[in-house]
Amino acid sequence: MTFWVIASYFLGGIVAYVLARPSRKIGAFVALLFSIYPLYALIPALDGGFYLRFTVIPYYLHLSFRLTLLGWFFALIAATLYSLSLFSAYSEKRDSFFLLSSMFSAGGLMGVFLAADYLTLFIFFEIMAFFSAFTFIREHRRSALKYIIYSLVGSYAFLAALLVINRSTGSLEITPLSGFGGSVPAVMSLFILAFWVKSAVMPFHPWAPSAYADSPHSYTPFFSGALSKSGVYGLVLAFFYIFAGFFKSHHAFGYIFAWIGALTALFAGIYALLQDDAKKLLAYSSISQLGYVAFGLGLGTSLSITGSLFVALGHAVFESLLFFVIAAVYIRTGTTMLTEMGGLIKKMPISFIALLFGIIAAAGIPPTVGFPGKWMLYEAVLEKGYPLLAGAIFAASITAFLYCYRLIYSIFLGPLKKEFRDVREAPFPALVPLLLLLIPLLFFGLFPGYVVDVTDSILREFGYLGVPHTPAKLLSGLGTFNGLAVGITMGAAFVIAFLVHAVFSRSRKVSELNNYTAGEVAEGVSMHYVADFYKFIERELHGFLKLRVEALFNWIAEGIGGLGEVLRRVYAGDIQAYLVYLILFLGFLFTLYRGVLRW
Amino acid sequence: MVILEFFLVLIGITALGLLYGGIARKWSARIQRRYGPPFYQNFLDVFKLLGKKNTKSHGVMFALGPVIAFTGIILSLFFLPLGNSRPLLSFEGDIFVLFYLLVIAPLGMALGAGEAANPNATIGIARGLTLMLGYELIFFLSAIAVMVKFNTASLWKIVEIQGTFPKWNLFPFFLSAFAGLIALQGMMGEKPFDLIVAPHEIASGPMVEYNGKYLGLLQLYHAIAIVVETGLFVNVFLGGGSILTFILKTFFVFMLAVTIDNIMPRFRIGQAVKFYWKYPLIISLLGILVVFIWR
Amino acid sequence: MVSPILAIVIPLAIAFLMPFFSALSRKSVKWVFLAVIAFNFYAAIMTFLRVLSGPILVVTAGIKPPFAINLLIGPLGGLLFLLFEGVAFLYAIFLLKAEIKEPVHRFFMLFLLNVAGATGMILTGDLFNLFVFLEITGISAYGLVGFKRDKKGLEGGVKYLILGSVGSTLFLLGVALLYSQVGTLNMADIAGRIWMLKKPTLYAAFIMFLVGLGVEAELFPMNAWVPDAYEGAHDTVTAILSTVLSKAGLYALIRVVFTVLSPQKAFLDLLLWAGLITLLLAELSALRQKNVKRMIAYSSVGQMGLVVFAFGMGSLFALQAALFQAVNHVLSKGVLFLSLAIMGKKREGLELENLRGIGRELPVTGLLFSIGALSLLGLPFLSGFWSKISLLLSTADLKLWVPLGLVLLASIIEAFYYLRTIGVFYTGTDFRFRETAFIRLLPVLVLVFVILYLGFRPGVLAPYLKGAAKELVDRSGYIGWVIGGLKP
Repeated sequence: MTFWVIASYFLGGIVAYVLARPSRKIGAFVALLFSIYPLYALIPALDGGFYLRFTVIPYYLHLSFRLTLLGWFFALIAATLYSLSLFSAYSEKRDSFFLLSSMFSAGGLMGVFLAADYLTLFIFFEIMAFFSAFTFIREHRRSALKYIIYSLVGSYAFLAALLVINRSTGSLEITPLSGFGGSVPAVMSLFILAFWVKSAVMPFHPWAPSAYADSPHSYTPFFSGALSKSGVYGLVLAFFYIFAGFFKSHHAFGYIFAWIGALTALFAGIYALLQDDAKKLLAYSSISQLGYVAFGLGLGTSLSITGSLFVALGHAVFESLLFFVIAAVYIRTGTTMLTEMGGLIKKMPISFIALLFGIIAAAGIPPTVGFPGKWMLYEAVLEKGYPLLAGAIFAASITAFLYCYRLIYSIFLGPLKKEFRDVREAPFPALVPLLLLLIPLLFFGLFPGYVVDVTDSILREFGYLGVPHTPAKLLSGLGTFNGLAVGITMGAAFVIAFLVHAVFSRSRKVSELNNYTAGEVAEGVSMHYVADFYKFIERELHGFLKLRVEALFNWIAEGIGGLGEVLRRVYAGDIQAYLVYLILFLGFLFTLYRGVLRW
Repeated sequence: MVILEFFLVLIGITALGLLYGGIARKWSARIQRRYGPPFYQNFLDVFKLLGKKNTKSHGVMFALGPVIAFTGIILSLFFLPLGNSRPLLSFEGDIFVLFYLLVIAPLGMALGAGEAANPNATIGIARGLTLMLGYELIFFLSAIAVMVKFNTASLWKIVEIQGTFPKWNLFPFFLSAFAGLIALQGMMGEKPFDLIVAPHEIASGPMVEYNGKYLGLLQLYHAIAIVVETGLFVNVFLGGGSILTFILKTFFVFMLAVTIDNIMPRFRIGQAVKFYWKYPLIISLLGILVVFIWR
Repeated sequence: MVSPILAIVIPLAIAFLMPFFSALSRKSVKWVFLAVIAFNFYAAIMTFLRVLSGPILVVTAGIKPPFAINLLIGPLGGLLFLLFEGVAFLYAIFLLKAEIKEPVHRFFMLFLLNVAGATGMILTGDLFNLFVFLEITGISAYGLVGFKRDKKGLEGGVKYLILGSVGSTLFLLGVALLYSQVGTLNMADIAGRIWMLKKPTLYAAFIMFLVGLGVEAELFPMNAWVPDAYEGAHDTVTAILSTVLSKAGLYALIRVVFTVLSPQKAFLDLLLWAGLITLLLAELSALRQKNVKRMIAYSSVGQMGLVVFAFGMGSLFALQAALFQAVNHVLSKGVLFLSLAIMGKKREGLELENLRGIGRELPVTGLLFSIGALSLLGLPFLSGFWSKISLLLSTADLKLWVPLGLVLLASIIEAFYYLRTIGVFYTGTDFRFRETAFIRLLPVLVLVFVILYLGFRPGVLAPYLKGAAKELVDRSGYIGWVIGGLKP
């Protein structure tokens, strides 16, 4: 079964590629069928895992897979998002190669979640990275290359780590590290680098904004919502399973990582405010959310890990929902720039509602899926007694309100642009993922306990205690949160407020120009306050914004390129020089062996 | 019976908020050597606005905005302990929930105002959200000092632990309380942080397009917000007591804010945020340091 | 039952008959050429199959070694023989439709000489004979590189000529040095008497061999001719230079170091670092290269460096990995150069900008190129991945952490410029579909098929690689084959 969960994507990718050549529709439909099978196969596998080992390669290496609960949790998220993204892709009229590469990347992701040994993990990690880059390397070469190089640096570091581990322990199986001879912190740093990069936690995030912005709009939800989870998966595995002994005995490491996560959440949030491209904004928002995840993992208590996993799920739901909305809007407007849209609420009401719920969740307002995870993180940090960390993530969540508002305002509110007078609601397939994602968005907000059921089992596998809960209620050491109660009260309060609104006389709908300016708007003057929305913050943070890690990485890359440019001159094209090299080399060799060559 | 209690609290607090607003107007007028409107003027305003026949709307969200704002503030109210009594709704980790619920109301208003296609409204909102980056953080940091000390995330428990007058958190946590007070000034949008409405610059910002019953709803929201925001501060720093003392304390805190409002000029938004990130931040961080030394 | 010696003799003989065939019918030349190569391929298959059951000793003039020149084909020779002739056969098919500058028969003559020389190099068991074949290969290659007689071709050819001559002279010096001490030219015989050598002589001989053969094996700093020669040469010539010739040179180097001179630690370390430096320098040079053919030339040098590096590690496992990597290099570079040749026909010049959108215009060629490149940079489930991972595993086995890091760094650089190239190939949309003739695609398709097949079943190669590696490690076994045990 596990085999077919993965194989289905690869097989489906090839079949869809072939079929999509004559008919795009059939191709997309077949891809959907093949992508739904893994979902169907995964859902009943809730109880326990099973172990499947088969040898693909009759060499000395083999691939092995097993279904752990952690893997299952993430695999299910990924499978769901991928199937949904195909609906959107269908509306976007994506070509056969897109189907192939996106299917392969999904298969790679599944392989990562189901791998039972490091090599398998590495192999599928590579496949995932390459094929996700191939989805957009044709249109946006630069960002695809940037993405792939960051990925490769990470995954090669991981490869080095696995080689070290293999050399020392003689086994590639993913087990808690024991009998390791070398320096654990060093190998752990190498090990987690790949996942660090993939989850786009700072300072290894610079690939993410451009990659998320430039990847196909229907693919980005999966890219951001699911692919980044492979990073989270790896980090969880590293901290609480493979290097658990080290992690538990070195609190400083976890503490520092928690700070990295918190600052990622905060800084990415600030960057998100200042983006003019909706997809870039969401990309930074995505980084910010993953900062929370990293923060929770760093704290390393059962409550915080549960919180992290919950945020990871929440992120998968609402961030992809938001990206799906952008995809739907793009289909109709042909732009993702916030400054070019406006007032679409009248034309695309369903997309608007989806985006509204999406930002409510992204801002972490209860009772949506965005809140319980954050609540657990706050409780956990309070329990540990780290007020500054709490402050940092709280500041990060304030930035979430700011960019969320900017997103919805710029696209859907404000005056309608002239060129969008005749825009219609997005085609139905593009709306399917929006509507379907609203269900988990609200359901898991009201009943967070169902998620905690799963995370508890995961935690127990790692030797942690679970978080006490009932379906609607979560209990921490410090307090409780009842999603359903908040939901019901909110509903009631809304009814009260609505009644106040409804009992009084009906209002009269007027044109948007019938306002404070009394219709005296000069021709061609935009009434849409979108550009430089948070200029004040930009101005105040001017000095801070100039500091960019990306510049450092670019500098390194430039340095290597420049070095190549210089070293290339070694091949000067001058035969005399070449002869000199040869003689020098001879001389060098004779000097090298001068001790031996003394007759 | 329970539902009746809910309504009682709702109506009572709304009336209280309107009353506070009226008194504040009178008080401001006195400071400025005007006569000022009667203290019940806000009631009249709200009734007039709600009863208006000719209400204009710019769209669904425009109409729903005030409703959501009102919803949000009612919801927050139910989580707020009024004096020593348990709030209507509570679970023990509710202070974080309350922080998030408090955001619903401004968000609702912002969404509604956004549809009005009036740049003044949006500028006001942008300013408001930016300011949030200042005061919310400061308020959170000053509250978390108390939370860490008492090791609880329950607002009601914090009230209960402090007890009455001499044992108020204000005294041991005077730094945090001071920072919290500055944050409160911004939270309530009083000068020098009134740049959200800033009538002289952006024509009362988010409210600029609202009229009739929508404006009425917003005024109701504003009335409750006064009590909820000052109440939050009172609960964290000024101890418990009967509901009457609670009302008195909120009144004094509010009047303090109004007084400061009257003697202060207005910050530019950049200045305001920068200000928050400087002195109040340092003060609140010192407050946290105090907790750690004290432990 | 075909004697492997025919695979050297027949091409040599036919090569000199080429003018005659040309006079008979100008069209017949390429068919004759194809037939000869096909025969060689057939001989290689037969030999390969025979080698499975034991090494083959071919004795000339009826005298037993070490007194006469002998050929010895062990598992290593068998493997390379099959690889060389197979690839050459594919190139021969490719050449059927190629545009070749007149006089065509001379081109094919040189090509045949080249193949014969390379074949001789890997089959012979005699050191002087090796030198002769090295010269045949080299001289025919100089001619081939300069065959276009344009500026670039001639420039490359001359550079190659000068460096190549210096190299073979040094090699000859080394041979002379050994002969003066040991008094024999038979490789096995020398190997058996290597203890007679004083240490200085041994080291001096090593230096001569390393520098001499380093020219063909593309080791830095003797590899400076490579970019110019590769760029200037006819596409198929480049392909054969990069795949067959470099491997023949490498084989000679490895054979001399491992079998003849005995693998001293100092020698291996030098190979290791020379390989590593070659790798890094070549990859860095390729990074900013605008001309795709030149870029792949650098990459080819880099790959050779990687292979030499792996040989330098010297463990049985590393040798297997090195051979595997060499096989993959042959397959990938064959694909790359041939598909680039197809692309070059459609566009003016092989600058990267000129090739924009070529993948849309030639979808099949583009795909094949991509697969070749991806295999080279180690995408899982392509053949190149398995060799790279085996190589890295053996590096880790020896705890060579710094070289491991450097190899990974080089891989990242390589990935960058190959992916950039692939990206450019698929940029743009408005290109017409103009795929090339099937017969030209066929060789590339075959190579890609092998890459894919090995990608999923890398195990099929394992026993052969193991045998070949053992042959290199087990010196006394080799000596025994020649001097004692084997019946001719």
